[in-house]
Amino acid sequence: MNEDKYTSLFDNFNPDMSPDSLFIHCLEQNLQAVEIVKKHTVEMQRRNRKAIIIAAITGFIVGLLSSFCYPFLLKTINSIAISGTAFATHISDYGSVYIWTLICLLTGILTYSAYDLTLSAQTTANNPKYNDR
Amino acid sequence: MTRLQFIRYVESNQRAVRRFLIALCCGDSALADDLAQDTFVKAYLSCDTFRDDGKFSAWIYRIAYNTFISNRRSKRPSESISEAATIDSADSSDKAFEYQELYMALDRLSEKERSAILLYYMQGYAINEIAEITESSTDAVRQQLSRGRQHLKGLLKE
Repeated sequence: MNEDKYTSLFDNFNPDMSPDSLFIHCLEQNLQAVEIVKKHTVEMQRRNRKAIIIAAITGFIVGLLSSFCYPFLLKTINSIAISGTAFATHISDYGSVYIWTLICLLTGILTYSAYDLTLSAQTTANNPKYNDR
Repeated sequence: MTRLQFIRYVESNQRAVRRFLIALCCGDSALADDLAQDTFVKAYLSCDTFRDDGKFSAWIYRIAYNTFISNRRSKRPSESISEAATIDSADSSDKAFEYQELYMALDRLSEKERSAILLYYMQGYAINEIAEITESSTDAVRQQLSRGRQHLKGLLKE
């Protein structure tokens, strides 16, 4: 079989296909679905970005305020050692460790809460069920 | 590329892509249409990042080829098309059986050989273009074409 015969094999190849209009209609529906998903993804990214920014600001402020309170907290912890018990002595020895752990926990919890509350608030604001009240 | 431009492109080229996929799927036009839909949706999702306007058509065929290969890998083995030839059609003028011999011959080729043959003889792509579409070397494409021709010659003479 020479080259021309191979080419002519497919030149005359005209299989039955579904109507072009039906194919394009299905494609347009699929593209519409893609657009909806893309729009939703962009919206979710925007909401997440806003929540992260608010959480970061909250974390920064809480961390800063807690750091300012550190000397006062350390003084309070050291005053506990006056009682002379073994527990009090232990608390006093590791006072700074406990205070910084407390500050980190507090900052982390408040940061996460700020993130969660911001996301929930945005979802509620965009939900027609809540806007109709 | 805007959505309107993309739809206009699809309207003028979808028949060629579907024809290619029907041959690649050895006559399964329903599957070919599904793959064509997947191809164009994938192309639409990536068309914003596509820069080389001159090779847009080849890029579409590349997506179509990859979509076909992914589908084959995820599909469970089905009955060979040669078994379908034994089924009598009630309608003797059924166009679906017009190309039965060709489909059976194509079905016996490997996927790479089939793709190379169709892209070369049906779509008229050059060997280096086929190499880009199928992500193979030009030597590999030449080999696939040569083997594909040998197999087709033997099968169509039977």
